[in-house]
Amino acid sequence: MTNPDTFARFDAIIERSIEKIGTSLEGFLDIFSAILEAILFGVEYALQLPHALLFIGLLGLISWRIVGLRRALLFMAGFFLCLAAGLWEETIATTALTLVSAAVALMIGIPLGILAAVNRTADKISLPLMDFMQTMPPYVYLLPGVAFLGFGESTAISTTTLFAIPPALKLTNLGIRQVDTAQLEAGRAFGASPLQLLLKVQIPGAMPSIMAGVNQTLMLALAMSVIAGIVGGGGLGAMVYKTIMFMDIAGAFNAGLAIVIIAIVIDRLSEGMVAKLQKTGPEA
Amino acid sequence: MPTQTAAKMAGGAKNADTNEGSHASRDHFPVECRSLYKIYGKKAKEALFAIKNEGLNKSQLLAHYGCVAGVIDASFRILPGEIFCIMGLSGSGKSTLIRQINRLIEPTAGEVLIDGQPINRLPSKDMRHLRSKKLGMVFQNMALLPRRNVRDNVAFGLELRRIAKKERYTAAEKALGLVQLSGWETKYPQELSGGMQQRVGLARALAVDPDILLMDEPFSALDPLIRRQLQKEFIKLSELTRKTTLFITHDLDEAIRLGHRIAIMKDGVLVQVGTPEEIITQPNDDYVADFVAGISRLKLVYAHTVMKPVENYQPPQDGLRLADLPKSHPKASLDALIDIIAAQDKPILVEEDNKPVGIVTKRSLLLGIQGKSE
Repeated sequence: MTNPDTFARFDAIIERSIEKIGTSLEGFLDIFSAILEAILFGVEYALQLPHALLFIGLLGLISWRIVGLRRALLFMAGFFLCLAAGLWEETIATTALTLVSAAVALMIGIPLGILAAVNRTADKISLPLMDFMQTMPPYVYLLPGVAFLGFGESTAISTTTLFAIPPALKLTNLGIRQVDTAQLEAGRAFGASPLQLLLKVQIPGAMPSIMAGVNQTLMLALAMSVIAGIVGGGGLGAMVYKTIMFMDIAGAFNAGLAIVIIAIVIDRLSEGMVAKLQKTGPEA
Repeated sequence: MPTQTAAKMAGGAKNADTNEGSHASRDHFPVECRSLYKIYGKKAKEALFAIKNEGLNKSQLLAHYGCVAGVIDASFRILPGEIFCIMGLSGSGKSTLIRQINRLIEPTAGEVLIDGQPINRLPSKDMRHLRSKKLGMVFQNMALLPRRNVRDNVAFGLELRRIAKKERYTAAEKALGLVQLSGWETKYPQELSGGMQQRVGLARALAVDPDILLMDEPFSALDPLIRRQLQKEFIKLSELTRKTTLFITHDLDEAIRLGHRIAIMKDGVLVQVGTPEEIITQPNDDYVADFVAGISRLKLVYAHTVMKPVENYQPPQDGLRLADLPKSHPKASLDALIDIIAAQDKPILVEEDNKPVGIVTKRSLLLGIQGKSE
């Protein structure tokens, strides 16, 4: 038997607590989102500063160094396609939103992941929280965002950042925990303090996993930045949302294609950087 | 320097015993264990009590208390400059024992002394200091850090001690020279073969210039030829550096080849401690006897074990006099004695300080090779 009263009460509690969080954290959230927004505008401005063709050229050059000529040419062709489709501004806006929110997500997720790896309580708290965050449908993130921050870029970047944290945190935690016990033992045998062990053995040993987390975070940030178009995020997300509303199939396909291109470029580039790092190892 | 005394005694059983006695009264041992125990399990305390008072063995302990005994009542002293081998099969507790020396594993009971200093209650900071200065460790699986090149791996211990880069690289290069890996500084561990990786592991331990080397089956994971080669190099290196070494192995050949003294470990208990010759000629029990049965005695058993008193010697009919016999000394190996008898076909007179102390006949030599006495 379901009791509608109970659910009504539950709903009321959720609503009230979210409201409460909103009001009590208002100042903090405003500052946080304002900072994010400022960074976003800065990055977006910087990315739009060079001419589109110059940008594509630079992208090609960097990609050539990291993933080779063939892929560099492919990436250039992809971004040129975005330019030709008249989606340049949107492409850059989405790229900027993705990069900034992923960077912030990493700055939050990796330290918290390290904390969860060395502290049992932090691990116990983070595990269910991360599972919850990862399984919660992404659209649900948007509502509290709108409730706290209103409609616009700040909500888009905040929710995107939040959504992209779990893989960074989880894979950092996992990576540190999976470092070979023999290496830990060697560290201890040579007199490493717990902090030295963390900095010189555990984190370096966890790098492959942490890097996989970076890649995942980037991908999730891109996915969420598109969804955030609904709540006023600009770029391709807004474009997709608009075309859906107007049943503009061709427009939707164009925007979708641009998103795929960004995804491929970001994914392969970040993977390539990881591979390069792993092959040669860090500079001594 | 006590190392010189150690060097002198290193070869022989009797010397070792007397030296140990005199050392105990006036000097410290680099490593000393007093009645060490390690018991794993929830009821470790009760189990320890039972094992001490009722003398349970490993399987009884498991049956009655659900506890696993890693090490039971291990006591030994390692002399300066000595290579002390602990030989046992897997699960005998030897890896647990070596980790109690640097407290990677905390003993359940008993005491470890490094240079006469009890370390079991050292605060963790002092313990880290002791590990980084005095105790170098080498691991079976090398345990090199994959994201550091060879030089930074070798300099790792010094880096932990916050030694300046230039100084630690100098030490690292010197250590790499000792293990014949000069020129490989900038390679990464994954780029090296197993044998080379273990040399890096050894260099890492040597770079901190420790007083004591703890070697946990360092050559066990290598293929036989490489293992032999590293053993030989290690013997040479050890003669050069004279580091006190605790060497763990499951390979009796290796223990005999390297060890000045050997401890045989079974089910957590040190069943016998002695020189290779003592272990082979006077095994304590059937377990040790089984172990040593297949070992060639030629280079490990010496004249003093197979010789008979001179008084019992009856010259053969053609009237050989003692003065006509080929001569040798008590520390001559069976191998050397065979050479003499093969060349001259006469009994051998064993002399010490120009005094005859015994006679080795063909018969006593052959029985000695078989490990039988008359």
